[in-house]
Amino acid sequence: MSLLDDVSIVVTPNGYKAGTLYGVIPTATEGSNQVINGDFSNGTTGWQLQYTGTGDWSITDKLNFVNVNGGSAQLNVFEVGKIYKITVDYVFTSGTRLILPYDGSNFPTGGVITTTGSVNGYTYYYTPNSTTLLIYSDGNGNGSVDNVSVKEWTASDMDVTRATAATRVDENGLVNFAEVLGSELVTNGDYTNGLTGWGTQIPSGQIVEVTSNQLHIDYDTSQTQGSTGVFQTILTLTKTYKTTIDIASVTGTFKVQVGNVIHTITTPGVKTFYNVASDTAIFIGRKSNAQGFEATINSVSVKEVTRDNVPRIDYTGGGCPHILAEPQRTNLVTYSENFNQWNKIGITVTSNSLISPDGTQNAGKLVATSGASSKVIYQSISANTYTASVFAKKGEFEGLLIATGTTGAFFNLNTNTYRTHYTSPPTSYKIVNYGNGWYRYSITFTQSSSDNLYIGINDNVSTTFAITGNGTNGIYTFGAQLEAGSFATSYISTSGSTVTRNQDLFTRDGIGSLINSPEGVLFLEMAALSNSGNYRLITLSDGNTSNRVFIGFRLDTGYIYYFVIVGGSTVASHITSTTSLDFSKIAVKWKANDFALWIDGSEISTVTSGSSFSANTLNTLQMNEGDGSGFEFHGKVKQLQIFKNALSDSELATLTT
Amino acid sequence: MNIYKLQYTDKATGDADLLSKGTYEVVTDEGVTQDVYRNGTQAIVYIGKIVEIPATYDDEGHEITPPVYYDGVFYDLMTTEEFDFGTNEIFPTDCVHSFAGYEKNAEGTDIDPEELEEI
Repeated sequence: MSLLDDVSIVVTPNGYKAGTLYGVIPTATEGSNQVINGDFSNGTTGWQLQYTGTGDWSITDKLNFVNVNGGSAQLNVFEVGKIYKITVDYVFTSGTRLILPYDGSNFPTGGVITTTGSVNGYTYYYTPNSTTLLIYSDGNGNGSVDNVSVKEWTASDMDVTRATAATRVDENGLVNFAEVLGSELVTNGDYTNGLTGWGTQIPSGQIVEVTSNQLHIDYDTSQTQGSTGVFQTILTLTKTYKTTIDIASVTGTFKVQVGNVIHTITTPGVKTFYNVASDTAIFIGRKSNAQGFEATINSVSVKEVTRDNVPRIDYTGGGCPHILAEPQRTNLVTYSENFNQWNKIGITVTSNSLISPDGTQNAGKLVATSGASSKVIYQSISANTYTASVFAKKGEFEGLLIATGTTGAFFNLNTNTYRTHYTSPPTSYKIVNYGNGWYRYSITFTQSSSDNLYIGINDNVSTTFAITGNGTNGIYTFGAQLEAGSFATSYISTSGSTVTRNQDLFTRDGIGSLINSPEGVLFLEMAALSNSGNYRLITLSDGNTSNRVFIGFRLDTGYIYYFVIVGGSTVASHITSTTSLDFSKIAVKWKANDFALWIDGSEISTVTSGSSFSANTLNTLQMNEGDGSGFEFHGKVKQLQIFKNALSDSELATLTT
Repeated sequence: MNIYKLQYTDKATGDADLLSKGTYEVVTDEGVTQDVYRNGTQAIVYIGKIVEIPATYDDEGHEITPPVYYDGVFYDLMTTEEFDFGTNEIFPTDCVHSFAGYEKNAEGTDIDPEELEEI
């Protein structure tokens, strides 16, 4: 029998969208419609009009509401703890909000409508706290609701929350943002159909035409006739867009204007821009005051970009990817890529000197000035425990310094090794290969008083800041980061201010039907980001900490451990002395009088007495302590599986080997 | 998303106000006490003191004159909920901190991610 016969939930670094990490098993399914008379074709059957509050509610093949501050309801629709797919047609004419459903205190994500208008088939997912479906409006709300459908939704997709952008290493080994692109918005972006779909502005005597599937714009140098070019009105205000334009040739200067943001183009090639739309059109053509240009363009693409809440499938180190979950961190370096903005001693900076780890020509070159002196750039820091990091690649010089006035490290960029310390050794250091000769070098240190963070060029001989330069030779750098904490996290780009990346949160409620509470196995293939730090847990629970199974890393040791807590009492647990900076396969089996912990093919601990959970107790999977927040998991996960039976020893050995 | 820029006389006052407004709570479990975000809080960033006039340094990077700081300490709060912070809420025009994916000076309610990069 295959282990897959017993598994009920499988989550791997697989498909995703903003806010969701797709589970592999089970395939998502919908139950039957739980709403009686959801199309209101049978009068008030099933419904209680004006169940709360004030205003006029009526049914005329739909549910109408006029000047209401309350709701109408259908009782016993939901089962608390499950997840439901809600679909509804609505018209919201006026008022503060239309809420479907409102339980008196909680606002359903996706179910609070504040923008007036009408939508058919509006769909979202909801985990109820009440059995009642209350359709509610306030602010003297007016409108109607029809075709209300509520179906139980069974899936293991995990909700992802991280309301900021975040970077990872993609499948090509490049450091970039985890993002989801929308569909193509440009009509005829490859100009295979002439100027179809494009608006044009062509003053007399100027040329805007398509020939050989290329856009050709020729603006006469002797005239100043105003706007000349092509446009499409395809943007929605406040949304973020990725614009890619392939330019075959250009003489002079022209612009690609995305909303109100102007990108000046002077060279051919593929250009990519990210912008928030502050206007609705994209325009390609003459830049104001340009006295003449000629451009030939192969294609243009515009797609909406979503970066918030996108789970990070990280390929650091190559091979199979993992789900990356990190703590909140702030990059205290205010210019992480523009090293010209740093204070400089004996260094000049040449921007955009080399292709950086993000795949674009934006790495800086630190060049040592002529003569023997300190060759560093720096910014001030205050007392704290930090990890400082920078991507570096050897140039004519082959040494890197990362230091403060009291501690630091010299790295050999040729052998990609730690050479020696500056003044006193840092607490720790780390070197990670990012390909193409780029490595990320980091040191962790504690600064007891205000000082400076220095990044410098070194000759692999000097143990001070001083070397001898010639005004030409240097090293390449990219992505400096200073973060409070004892290990480096993913790169946070900054350009003028410190920037915070929020914590990654993963949860899945309403999966009670997928978990056999009295017995089962929780299996994880995971690794820690660091052996230090707080407890970091992955938990099956009932939404509280009194009934839960968790596997985690322990406070400040990184030791792998597990607990089974039933009715508030610990019935089984074991704390190993095993840390897991490399991936480990870990399984916890729970069953009355039969609990065990397996790691990498070995049975580590057994507990042969103790009760287990009652049926239908466990219903949520969370990467935290199990009650919504606290002790969030920070680490890397390649596999997460939940089995509905207590597997045999041989099966557990196979699973964890 | 809502982003608030906040100023308090000191960290104790700021922590107490954010706690009283339910942006986080102090939870003790497994023998560890920690601050846990609540009620829509996505992040609380304690910025601390902000330099008004930078320090000056000599050619070797040694401090000549110390920095001058603005009064009090500062926080950035990112949340899905709306709060009234009264006079503790400030509206700076050149912020020293931002959230990844949001423009440098983003503050206020219903904020969307801003321009991220350009070439």
